[in-house]
Amino acid sequence: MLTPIRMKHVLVQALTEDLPRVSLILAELGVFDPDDRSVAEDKFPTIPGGRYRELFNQAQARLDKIARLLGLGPLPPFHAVRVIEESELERLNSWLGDIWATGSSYEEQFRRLLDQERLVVQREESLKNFASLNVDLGLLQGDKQFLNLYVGTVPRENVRQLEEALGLAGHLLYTFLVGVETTNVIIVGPRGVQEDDLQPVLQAADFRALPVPPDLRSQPENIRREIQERRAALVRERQEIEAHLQSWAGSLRRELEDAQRTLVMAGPFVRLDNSMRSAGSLGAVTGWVPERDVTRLEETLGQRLANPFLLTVRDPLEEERSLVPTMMRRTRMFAPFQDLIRQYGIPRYGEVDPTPLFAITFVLMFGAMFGDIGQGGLIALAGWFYRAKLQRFGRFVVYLGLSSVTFGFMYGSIFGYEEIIHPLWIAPISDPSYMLTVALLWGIGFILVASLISIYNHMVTGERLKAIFGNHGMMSLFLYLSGLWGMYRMSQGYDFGTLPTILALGSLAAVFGFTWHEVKAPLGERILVAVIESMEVIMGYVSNTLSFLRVAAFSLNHMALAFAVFAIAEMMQTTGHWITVVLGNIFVLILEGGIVTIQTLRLEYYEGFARYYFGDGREYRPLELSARAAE
Amino acid sequence: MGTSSSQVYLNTRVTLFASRLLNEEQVERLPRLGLDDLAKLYGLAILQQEQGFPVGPQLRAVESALIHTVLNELLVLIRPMYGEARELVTHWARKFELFNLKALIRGKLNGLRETEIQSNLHDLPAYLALPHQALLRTESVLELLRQLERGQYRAIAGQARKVYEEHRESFLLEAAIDQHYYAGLVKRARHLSGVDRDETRKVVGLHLDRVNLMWLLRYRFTYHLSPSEAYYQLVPSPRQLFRDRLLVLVNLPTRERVLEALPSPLSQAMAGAESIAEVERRMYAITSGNLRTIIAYSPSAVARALAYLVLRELDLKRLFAVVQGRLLELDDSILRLALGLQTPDSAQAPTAAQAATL
Repeated sequence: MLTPIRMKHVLVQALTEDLPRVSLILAELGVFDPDDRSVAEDKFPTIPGGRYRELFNQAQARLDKIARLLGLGPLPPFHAVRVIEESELERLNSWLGDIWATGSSYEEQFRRLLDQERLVVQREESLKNFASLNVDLGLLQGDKQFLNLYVGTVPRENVRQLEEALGLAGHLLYTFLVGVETTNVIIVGPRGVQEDDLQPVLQAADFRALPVPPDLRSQPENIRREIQERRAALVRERQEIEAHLQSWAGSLRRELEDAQRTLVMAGPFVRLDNSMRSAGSLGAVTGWVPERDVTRLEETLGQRLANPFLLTVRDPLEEERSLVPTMMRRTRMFAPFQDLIRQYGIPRYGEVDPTPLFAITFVLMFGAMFGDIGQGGLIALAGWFYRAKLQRFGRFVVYLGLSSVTFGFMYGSIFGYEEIIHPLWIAPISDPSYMLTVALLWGIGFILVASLISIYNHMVTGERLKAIFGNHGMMSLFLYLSGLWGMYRMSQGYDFGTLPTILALGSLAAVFGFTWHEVKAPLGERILVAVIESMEVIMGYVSNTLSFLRVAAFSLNHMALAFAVFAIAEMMQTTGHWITVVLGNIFVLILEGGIVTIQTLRLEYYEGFARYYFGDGREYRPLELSARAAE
Repeated sequence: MGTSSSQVYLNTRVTLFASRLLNEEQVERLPRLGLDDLAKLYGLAILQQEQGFPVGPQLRAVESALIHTVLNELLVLIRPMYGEARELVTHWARKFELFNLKALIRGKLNGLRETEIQSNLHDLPAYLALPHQALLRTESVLELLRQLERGQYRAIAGQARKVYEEHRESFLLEAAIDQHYYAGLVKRARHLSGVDRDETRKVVGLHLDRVNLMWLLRYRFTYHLSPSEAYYQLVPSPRQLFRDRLLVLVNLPTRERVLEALPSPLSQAMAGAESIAEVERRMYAITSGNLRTIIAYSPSAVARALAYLVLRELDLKRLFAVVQGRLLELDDSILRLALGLQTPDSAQAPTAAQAATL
């Protein structure tokens, strides 16, 4: 349960013509994670399928755009798969190109409609404004003998620059209505002079003309009616286009589904990319397969390939460790915790899967810091009730709630009341020193387990010297244990002890010596780094151990908050008392619940993962038959 | 910018990085270096890896490697920054995103195939978030314009549509893209506060003075745009070439009059410049000198970091020019001209040290 699943490196050699079939078989099995290194380049110099990849990518892009425009849903599952030949892909791509050309024209029509709808709104606003101006609107209409006159809109951010540029061309700009995105302007200047200069500037500023109708004032209702008619016409036009689009989409639905299926089946060959190479009529594919699936892979290839093939299987080499994908064991129970671990990183291949330890310690620490039957019960109920919305996270919330309930029984606390039931263990507030001692011992145990895991992880990943002499290695652990031994002796009234001193100094010297050996720098820098890192090991153990005192601190804090709530409630009448108790509990639940979750996560990440978890692994992503297989 | 420890960290980083900038002696030596020397001295291992490939792809690979060099340094420098300071420096890096945007637009307007356009694009990190795959996969100019309208470049999408419908050429559109970029830089510098604001405005102003002067001269006297059209494409600088001055300069009828009308330190430096290329070389020297002064003496860590990045990019452009010259087997004199070094025929350009006093 603690070690990731063992992986094997496989090399499949087959005829080049069989590579598409091989890719399909691998995708159907869903166990093959392509090795992206171009292995055996000298023996297999060519990456096959360049044209095929180009066609596929173009076809997929076209289909994505069509799907977005027509609102195509997900593809229903299908089972009969076949190899897609390049000629078929080419025909499909061409057909999709024609379909998209039509689709693009619909998009352009919608865009034009949107533009016109915006113009209608702008025109309405501008004309309302014109109608209220104390100006003869006849002056703004038609050609003038001596003046150039332009009425229209300009994007707000362009107004100032345009005004100044127009000034150089002898024109003036007046703004009369400032909108959110555009400003309505009137541009005036002498006719005939520098007119040719104007058009490019107006174009650069995205000026749009807004003609003023002659009967705006005399018959405003005509204008209003005209605008409404225009609006209605645009709505009708939009509905017509949408209807055409839906009808067209309906006629194509089956063919588009076929297209989706074809691309899903063509996807694996493209996804293999440079993990697949060839030399003439011989091709090769490399990748990683879980050890337990190798036999099934070989059998399936044997059944489905008519031509001979060769499957070579080997263990990962030491130098490949960072490239081997890690397949984390999936269990329903631990699934939500795996999501939290993924936030930190994927386990390096070979290192211990931290999921079980993380799950158990997280749940225990949360419960210890937030022990209350009532509040824990509410958390568990919330996780259960909202499980559809929270999905995997819902189970996580339920676990935390149940842990809180358990510790609630151990502390004898229900909604902050400690008189209702007798604690199975101890009420934290009754003996804070004891709680702090328990938290300290818990922390020591946690750090010991984390250190042992760190040593194991370094060993299995080939870092044997670090496993023994590194900052979280065996010598470092001896330093910690001898320090604890000495401190224990002192707590019992004795001195630190000769043997603990010798062990502590000896292990410290070993750590120092290793750091000295590892640092390649001038003498002064070497001394500095070795001393500081050795001190950091000691300080790290001290601070990490003391950090776990917060487990006790928060359990006491929880009780203290309850006391505060009851102190306020006591000052109220009966109704006010219960309202205060309810609101106080809600406040504690949300605020302290959130804080405790963050503190627990912090302990796990910082005191735990930082000590033993590399988290720099590569996630196992097998080739699959899916719509996104090529991404 | 942030806490004093962040300032100290950033200042230290900039000081360490500043040792990578090319001094005059190194620039002088560049035209004499072969490809192997360039690869060894300036970490251009890509040159050796790409040997034997056609010149075009080699140059593209070198250019990408140089861009990644400056972007990796930017990532280190923005680490201790946050808020407006980080916004500003990240926005500066968007100029590389604009290379890709312009290549895409040009390619689509000219009907190039997807693979041809792709070969002209740089592979940029995720934080320079132009969705160029979505733009690349558009199948017509109208579709490209619709994509632009959905993204952060919607402000220029309207102009892009007019350009396509009426002109079918991209020069004005590219000018609008550049203008949008520099206007964004000025706006973000204004959002800073205190000494950071004052000092970064100097850096942005220096950069923009050079860019504005070159645009002004080219728009007016090479492309023969009208004063109003040329002015509209400029971005008023917070330093020498501010709004009112630009309004005067664009109206002048000849290049010589424009150079004479520049404010006195610039007009002295430009005296006798016989071509726009010569003006550009001299402006580069002035900008470079002043930016070095800012790196050496400015109290603002952000301004120093931005000044460093501007200079570093200019240095890497010089390196690229030399690599390009070597691969295309150009004459040394052309290389010296491209690097802004003195040639026997050109008038005296100010050195960086002289320029720092302007």
